[in-house]
Amino acid sequence: MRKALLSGALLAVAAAVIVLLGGSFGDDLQHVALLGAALGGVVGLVPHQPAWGRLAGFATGFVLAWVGFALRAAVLPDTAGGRAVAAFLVILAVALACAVSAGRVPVWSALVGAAAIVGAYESTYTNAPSQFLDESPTAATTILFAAALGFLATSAFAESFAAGRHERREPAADAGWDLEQDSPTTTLDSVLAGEPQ
Amino acid sequence: MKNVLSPARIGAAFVVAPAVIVLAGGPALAADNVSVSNTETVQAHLDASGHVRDARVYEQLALQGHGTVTVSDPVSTKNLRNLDGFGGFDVKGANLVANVSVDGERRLRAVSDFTKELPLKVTATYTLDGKKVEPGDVVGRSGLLQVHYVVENITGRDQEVSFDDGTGTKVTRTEKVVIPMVGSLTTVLPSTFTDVRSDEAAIAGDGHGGTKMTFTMTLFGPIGSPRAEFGYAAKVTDGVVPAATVSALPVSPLDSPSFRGGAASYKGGADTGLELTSGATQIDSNVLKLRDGAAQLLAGLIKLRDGAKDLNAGLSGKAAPGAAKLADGAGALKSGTGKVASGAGDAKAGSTQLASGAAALSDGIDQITAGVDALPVSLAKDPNFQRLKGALASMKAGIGSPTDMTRSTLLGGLNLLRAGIRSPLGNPLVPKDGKTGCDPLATSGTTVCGAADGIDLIADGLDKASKAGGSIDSLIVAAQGAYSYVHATNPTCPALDSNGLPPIPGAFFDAPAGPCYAAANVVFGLKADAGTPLPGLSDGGIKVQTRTAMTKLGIISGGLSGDALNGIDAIKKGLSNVGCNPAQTNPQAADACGVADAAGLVSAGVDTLVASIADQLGAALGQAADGASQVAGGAKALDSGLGQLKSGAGQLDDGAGQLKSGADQLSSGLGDAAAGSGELAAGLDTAAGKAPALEDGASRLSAEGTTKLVDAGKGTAADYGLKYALIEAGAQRAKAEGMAYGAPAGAAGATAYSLELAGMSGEGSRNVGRGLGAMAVFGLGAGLTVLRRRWL
Repeated sequence: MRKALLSGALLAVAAAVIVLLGGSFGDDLQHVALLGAALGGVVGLVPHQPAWGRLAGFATGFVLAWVGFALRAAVLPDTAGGRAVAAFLVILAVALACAVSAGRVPVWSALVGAAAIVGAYESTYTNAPSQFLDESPTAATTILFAAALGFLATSAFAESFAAGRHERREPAADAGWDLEQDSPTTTLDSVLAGEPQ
Repeated sequence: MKNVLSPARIGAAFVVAPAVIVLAGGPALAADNVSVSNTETVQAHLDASGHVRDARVYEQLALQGHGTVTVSDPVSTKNLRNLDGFGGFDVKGANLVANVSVDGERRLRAVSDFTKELPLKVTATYTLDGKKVEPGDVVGRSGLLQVHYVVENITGRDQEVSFDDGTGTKVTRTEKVVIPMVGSLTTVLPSTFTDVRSDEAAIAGDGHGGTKMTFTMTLFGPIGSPRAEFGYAAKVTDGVVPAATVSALPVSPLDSPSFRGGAASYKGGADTGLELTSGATQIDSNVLKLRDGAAQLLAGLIKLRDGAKDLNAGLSGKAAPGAAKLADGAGALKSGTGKVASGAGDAKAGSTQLASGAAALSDGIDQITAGVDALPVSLAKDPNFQRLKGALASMKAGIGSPTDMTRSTLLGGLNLLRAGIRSPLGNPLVPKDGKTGCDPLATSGTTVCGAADGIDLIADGLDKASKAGGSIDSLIVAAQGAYSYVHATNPTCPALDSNGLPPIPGAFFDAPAGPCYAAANVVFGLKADAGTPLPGLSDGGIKVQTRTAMTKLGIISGGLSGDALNGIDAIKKGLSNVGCNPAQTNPQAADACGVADAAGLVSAGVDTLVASIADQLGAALGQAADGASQVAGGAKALDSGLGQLKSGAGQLDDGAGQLKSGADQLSSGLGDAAAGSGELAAGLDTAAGKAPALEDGASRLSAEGTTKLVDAGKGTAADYGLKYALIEAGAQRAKAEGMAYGAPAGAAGATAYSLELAGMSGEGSRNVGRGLGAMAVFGLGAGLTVLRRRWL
């Protein structure tokens, strides 16, 4: 619970800082502050080995989704079918990349990265697909900066929390706490991969 | 569950998903009517100064109905892409060709590079604190920023347009005609822009602290201008160049509800100009006619004035004095006819006495004859017989000869009486002046005219005066002319009727002393027919009365020349018959001897007749008795003729009296007419003096008024006509060339232009900063993680 409180408090501070930095880093930062802090927090909080795989997955998903927007703007039809194909291809590319990494790059972080750019840019893209080159960098850098602050706010403490969790597992279990509720024994990758629990 | 199916799932997804997408399109449909509309949207991106960076055109075909239709849409084929499906398009030439099945509604969209020149040219210039700067120089600066936009419709081309120049003539002129376009420029200024001012923009807040500005543009003449300039000024802090969007589209001014009224007003202006020109031309023409009419009026007034002066001179100098003389002559005539009547009465009395004396003479001769019959043979020696002879000689001498022209003998008296009736004296058989031979001007001598001659002269004069075209008619014409002029100058004075007479004076006449009344009286006095219901004119005017007098005088002359003269001749023959035959016993025979002849014969042959005195004296006395009887008969005939003479003289006296009355009226009327004509001449003189001002005024009205009005009408008609012709030509271009690439045959189409004017916000450097910052922060986070694992 302390972990949740601390991480939540840090993320809250990070979100507030992001909003306040909007004056210097662009007004759009205010609009994606919560989204970026939350997604960065997810990347920072969810444990994965190797640890860099989280960031690599985030970056992979982020870039592939960005490329998906480029495909929609340049090649695909502006229809539900075109959008479906783009989504299909992005997810498929994410899955392929993660598969190629042999588990080093988690699928979930790649999906978080894709979600970050989609959340930040989808509405802007819908308004002006032809402005992709002009507007997508702003959306991308803005959400990246917000996500980085969220990641920073949580990543330093996440490992210690994870370590502390293992150290306190038995006393907690002795106290009757069902630590499984907070500390999954199955990795998120396993869940996403559909492995049996 | 293992992850063994992931590749299969992926492969299935690859195959199934597109299939599902493609199959979502729906079934093909039966053929029916399909309507097609085509819209084009040209989107261009411009840098902050207005230079075009890229442009593309979005084609959209909307099909409604049921059936299958093949559309061929003119498009730009460069980088043509289907926006509604994965497949491409069939392109033939420069046309997108598609066979489309429609069941209700169907849409096709495509995008391609815009390969033509944009119809609008946008230029944006910036000044900061009064100095011209590049857009990038504004970023991060503070001061007074002024932005100036110029949007220009560059579709203009030279084209011939025709319009009415205001005179009904079509004028063709080469003018630059643009495709009419309307649009707006919209920009949103951030909250760092304060004290925003613009003379052209509609300004409102955007709800986020910013300022939204909209500039509307009508990029065609004459309603607007192909070139629009506008802008704004604001105080900026940490400045940026706001982006702006120019939206525009071609429009037909004749069909657009927004501009139809304006176009109609130009047409109305042109039509009004035409009407103004036409009306002003008519007015000017009429003014010129007025000027010409004024000139003619002036000429007529001058003639009328001169005529009035002549009339005045004629009336006052000739007619009035002539009328006065006529009145005097009529008075003299009246006096003379009075004397004629009196003389005729005296002659009648004398002839009665003559008849009585002749009868007594016949009785006496009868008594003498009876006494001679009773005389004895010794009578010749009887002193009484001698006295008888002397008495006979005295009687013969008293009777006188036929050529006597003295009052001392009976025949002389008769000759004088005859000469008093008909001249010349002593030579009645020699005609003079075609009738009597007397000299009307002689007052003494043998050529003095007799009463019948005078009557004939008067009758001839009256006949000449009263004949058609005679002097009375000339007077009538002059009087009618004077009256007509008075009528023309006095509207209350009625016109002459078809008989040339004014109406009977009534309420419409002016005062009795007025010119209308006077002129009417003159006409009536001269021309009125007998029975005219006007006081003093029941017997008619001078002309009628003159004819009556002439007729009466003819009757008198006939009486004098007939009965009176015949009676005198008979008396003379009874008294003395030159060349008589003493043997003639028929007293009615032409050679029968008269009383004097008989007395002569008795006196000369009494001695030789003594022997047979009884027979011869008896016969002679018988003849004397017959002659005395003839004298008595002639005296009676003379008495009858003189009775007629008296009656005719009385009528002549009456006619002369009427003539004198009419002449007096004529004299008075002509005097009034002379005075009126003098006033008329003076008035016409004044009118003639004023008439040039009317001509001058009409000329000035034409030169300074109506001519300028015509010029103004022409100018208005031509100006508005040209403008409306430009609107029409623009409307035609809008319909023919309004679309960037055109629409399929039979399809409705429209094109809109969206020009995105880029802003300058320093976003590129911000992106770099944010990106680098993000990587740094991610790196910091990763570093913290590593540090945490190693040291904590």
